[in-house]
Amino acid sequence: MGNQTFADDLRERSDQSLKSMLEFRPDLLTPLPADITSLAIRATSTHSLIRALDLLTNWELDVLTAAATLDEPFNIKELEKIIDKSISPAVKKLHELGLFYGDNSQLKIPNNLRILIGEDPAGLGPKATIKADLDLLATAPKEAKLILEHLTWETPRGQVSNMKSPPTGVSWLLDNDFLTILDSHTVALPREIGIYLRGGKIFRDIRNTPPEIAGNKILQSNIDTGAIANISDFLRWCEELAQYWANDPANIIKTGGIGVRDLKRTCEHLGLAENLTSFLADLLFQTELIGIDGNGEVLPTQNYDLWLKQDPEAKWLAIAQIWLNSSRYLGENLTPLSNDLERANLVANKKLLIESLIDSPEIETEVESLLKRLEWKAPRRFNSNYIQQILRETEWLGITGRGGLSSYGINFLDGNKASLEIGINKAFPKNIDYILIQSDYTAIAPGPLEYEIADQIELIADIEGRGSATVFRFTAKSIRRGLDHGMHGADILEFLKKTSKTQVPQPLEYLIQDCAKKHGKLKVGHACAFLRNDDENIVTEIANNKKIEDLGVRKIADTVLIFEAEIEEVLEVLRQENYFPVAEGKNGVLISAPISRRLKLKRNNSNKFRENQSSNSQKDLAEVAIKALRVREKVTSVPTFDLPKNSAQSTLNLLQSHIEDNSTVAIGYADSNGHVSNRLIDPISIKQGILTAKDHATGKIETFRIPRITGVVQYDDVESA
Amino acid sequence: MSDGPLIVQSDKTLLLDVDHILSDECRKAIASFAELEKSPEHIHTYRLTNLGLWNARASGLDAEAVIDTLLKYSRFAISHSLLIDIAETMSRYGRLRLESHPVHGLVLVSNDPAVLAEITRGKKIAPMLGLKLDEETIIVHPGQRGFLKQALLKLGWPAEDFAGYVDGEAHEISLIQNNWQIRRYQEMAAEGFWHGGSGVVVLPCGAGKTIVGAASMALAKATTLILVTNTVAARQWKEELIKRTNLNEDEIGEYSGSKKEIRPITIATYQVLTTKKKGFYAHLELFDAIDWGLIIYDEVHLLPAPIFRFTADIQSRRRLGLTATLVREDGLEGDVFSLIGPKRFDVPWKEIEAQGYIAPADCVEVRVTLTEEERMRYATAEQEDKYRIAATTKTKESVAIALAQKHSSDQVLIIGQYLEQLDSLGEALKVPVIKGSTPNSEREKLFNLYRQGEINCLVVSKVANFSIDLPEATIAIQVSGTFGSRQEEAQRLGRILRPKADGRSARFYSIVSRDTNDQDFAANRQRFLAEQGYAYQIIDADQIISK
Repeated sequence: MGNQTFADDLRERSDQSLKSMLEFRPDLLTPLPADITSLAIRATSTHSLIRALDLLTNWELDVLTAAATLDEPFNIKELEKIIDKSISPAVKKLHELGLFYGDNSQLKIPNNLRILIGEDPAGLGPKATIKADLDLLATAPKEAKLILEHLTWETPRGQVSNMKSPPTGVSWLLDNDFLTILDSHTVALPREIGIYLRGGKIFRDIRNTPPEIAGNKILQSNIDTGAIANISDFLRWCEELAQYWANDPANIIKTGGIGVRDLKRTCEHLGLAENLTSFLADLLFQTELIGIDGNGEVLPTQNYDLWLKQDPEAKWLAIAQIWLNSSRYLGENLTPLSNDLERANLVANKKLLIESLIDSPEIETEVESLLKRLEWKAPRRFNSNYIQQILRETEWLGITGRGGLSSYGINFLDGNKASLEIGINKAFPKNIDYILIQSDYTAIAPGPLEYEIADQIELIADIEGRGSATVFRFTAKSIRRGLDHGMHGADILEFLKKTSKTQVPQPLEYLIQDCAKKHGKLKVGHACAFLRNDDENIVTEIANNKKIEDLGVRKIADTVLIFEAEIEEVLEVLRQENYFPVAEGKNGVLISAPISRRLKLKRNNSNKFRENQSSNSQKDLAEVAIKALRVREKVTSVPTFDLPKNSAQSTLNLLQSHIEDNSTVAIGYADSNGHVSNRLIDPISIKQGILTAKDHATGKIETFRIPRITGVVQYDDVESA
Repeated sequence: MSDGPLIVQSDKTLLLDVDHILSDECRKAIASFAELEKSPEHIHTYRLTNLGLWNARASGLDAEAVIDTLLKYSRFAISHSLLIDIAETMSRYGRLRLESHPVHGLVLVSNDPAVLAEITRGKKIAPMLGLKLDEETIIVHPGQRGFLKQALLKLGWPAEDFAGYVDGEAHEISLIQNNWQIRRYQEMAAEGFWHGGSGVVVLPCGAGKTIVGAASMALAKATTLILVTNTVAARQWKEELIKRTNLNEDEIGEYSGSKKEIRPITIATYQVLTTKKKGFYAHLELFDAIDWGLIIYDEVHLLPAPIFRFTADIQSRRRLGLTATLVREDGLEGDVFSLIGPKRFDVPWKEIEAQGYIAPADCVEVRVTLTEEERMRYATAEQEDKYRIAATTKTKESVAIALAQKHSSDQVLIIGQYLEQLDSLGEALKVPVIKGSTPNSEREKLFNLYRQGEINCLVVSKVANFSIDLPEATIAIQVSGTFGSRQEEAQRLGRILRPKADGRSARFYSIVSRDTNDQDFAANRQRFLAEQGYAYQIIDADQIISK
């Protein structure tokens, strides 16, 4: 059984066991694997393993990491010994996921998974090559003990600047085989010694249960009151935002999303913080209550009008549903409505958070403890920024109230109750159908207004304050707005008398009548050209000329005609009809000929052709460019064909020797298309077929694959040649 | 959800439904931490401000109590963020304390080193502070107490002042209530001030602010400096104090343009204090002349800037500000609060009216139309001349005359801004005109004749805006004013609010030219009064002239 493969293990699994693996790891199913062998290959591919690791809790990850320190195959007893007795559920889960295979007496880990776990699992170094005498540790000098302390828990590897004469502590440890040399500068604490120093256990703490959520107890009814306040605020903000943009749309900037300036003024108008406004805008956009028109203006959509007429619960659900499955992240300084807001793990984090909230009812959640719990539950997917943002969002939405999960939230998140009422309508204040008008030209709706009434009153009054109640102010301007929309003074008065519980104050009545009297006295229309003449007869004659009729002529006074046609055309036609017109300028100056048209240059156009001289980054860029040029010059002095072709083994040997004497070398390096370029580098180390070196051209540490290095030559040799 | 009288808005305003059965109880509960913003007939608006919440802390109220009150009376659920905001704001108060150190004098103390570090980094605050004695204590330069408090307030870290007040030179003062009785609200105002240490009392015109001053003096029982707007007001104060307290004439001095008496009780005018000689304020040493135990600022909304500066210097003395209209067109209300002290007492005008202590009043706006010729002149005038042209139209004069004649049996005041207009009215009605150039003695003589009923109509310029007590004036006719000044309008109405012997209601006419900026200014002027529940009825001039 010792040489059982992963595929063998899969073959031996029960259907149930296979099914549960596939349920956990749905990526294995698309496309459907042809046979167990290909399933095994897919399940052990790095890509799929990464996804599987994401599903693990902190404890399961610990168990897996600890297992990676053991020789294969290992049994569960060995594993228990280095961790804790409580591992069997975790082992079962890991086996179920296909991250362990074999039976409990002969467990194995897929090879690719070992690579993913890394060279130093749980911060333990490579296996020892020589067995050291552990009793000697008691006699270790002080320096050596300090080094050991560091290497035991922090990192198993250490750097030594000169291996030929290492510092005392290191030399003692090397002499007694408590350290192994990895390369010319690196030493490591062997795994066995690490475990011994950790007292035979891999981990300091056994974290086999999730941390509890802390927080003050709070009554569900108090949570719900808070949540209803949040929900009614939230719905009001949505309406305010949409209505504000209906009158004064925000614009989409070139790089996508709503610009800072539009956002700022919107925040100011709504009296809300920037992150909240961004969130609202983006969520309304996702819900398609607002959209972007052809000119890049953000406006409420037709859906918005339908949405507006629904009851609070339906309104809220329409938005909350979209939110629940949205992977858009509106963290600090991100642009709402832009294209790059999708985040891979956001929905997963949302689900995690919600599960945790459901698990701990009637608590004013303390964020710090919540974060700890979520990190334990899914350390690889957990993102503290996401969680904190999602927490803010749940509060804004009213899924939570005062930090606890509200009963509306519970009902909403409970998939089984999806079709039932979640209780918002019942808890919401009843709509009212009246206002109170006061003598200071204000009116107050002491509760949410019926949609029709709100709509009407917003036409004739400005909103001065919003909240559970709305404060309206009547001004000449607002009354005029109503008149502009086709209402008559009498209509307005009648509406107010009907709607107000209090008497309409006389000054307001006077204001309305006064506005109505003045409204429409001034008339404004469109015209492109005019004609004036003191002789009324000629004016009448021209107005009645059939040919001139095509110019869209209209007589607005006995001596004045206006035209819809442009001035040049009017002049032309009048001349054809044997009149003697001239063009008249702005101040009544006569112009002998119509102005011939010129293109107006925009002021800043000229700047386009000027260089930007003052930028510092420009200077930096130049420096970099020069440096690169110099290096390239050096390197091209070694033409490709001049570099000797080395075999892989000799390349390796050459590089090794150059690493030891710290010299600069030129190499030929083939890219993935087989193109060979010359690089000037300082080699640093070689590991697993990869050379790490400092590239002179970029000044950075880079890696080179040994098989692609076509030749190596010491740089001094090139120069002298 | 309760059916309370209060609606808590997310913009931190509180709307109080005054027709609700619990409204009275609720008003009393919220008055200690929210500021009354306006009180029209149905819904009163209060606002939760940082200052108001800090004042509540100062008077011993904690955030829990404030939140409980809101939750108790609120009609709808209150958003949690607002409650958190209240708690956070209130927790900022008292982290810094001003204390008297036995050795180093005034020190700033905090148990929170982070706050101390934050404020000492401030450019404005650093120069006011001296040596750091330890992690929690910093010396404050003497004389900077007021400025420091003001600057800390702006930073959002109000300092609790434990340094106390000087008692001042003791002087026996007590109220003598032989044929009158101090009113309940006056007593509450004086006590509210006294417990707070320093601050502003807001009461409607005619509600007897002088008595509040006298009652406060009786509590202080110390030498008192009273600052008033003008000489006439100074003499009224003096008379009133003699009438209401045990003080006699010799104990009260007048410090004005004409007299420079310094007595245990000294009444000085703002004008004389701000007079400069060779570039210096010559009379500011008055503040140091006696070890004053109390300084009273009458009509504190008019307090001139130099006195502001001086007030910052005398933070260890008790200060009482009195006003009817704490609206400053210069927006310096905040400075009044931090230098004189917070608002300690405020009560809606209509409530005092309901108690019968001020006369009920109707406000009527009469709209006149400019003559054709004036309209043309107005249309083509430069911007700066427009108001004058609109405000002084001939039509206004005929309306004013018609109104004065209609009310010939009442005591009438005609008030205006433009002297030409006033002179012309005086001539037409054959009544005396009181303006800036009228000597004080002449003014007093005329006011006295008016009080006695010898004259029943006076034309006055803005010199009579404040502090002139004309108990029987019943009708005020305003023909022009200082642009859109809200407090001027309120003060002018105030001239006729003394309760009348026969319980008659007063009437305030404001004559306004339609379709001009006079109308816009009038709308702004009326705002304060409208917010106090004074509804203006608007009528057209023909309704008056045709009669």
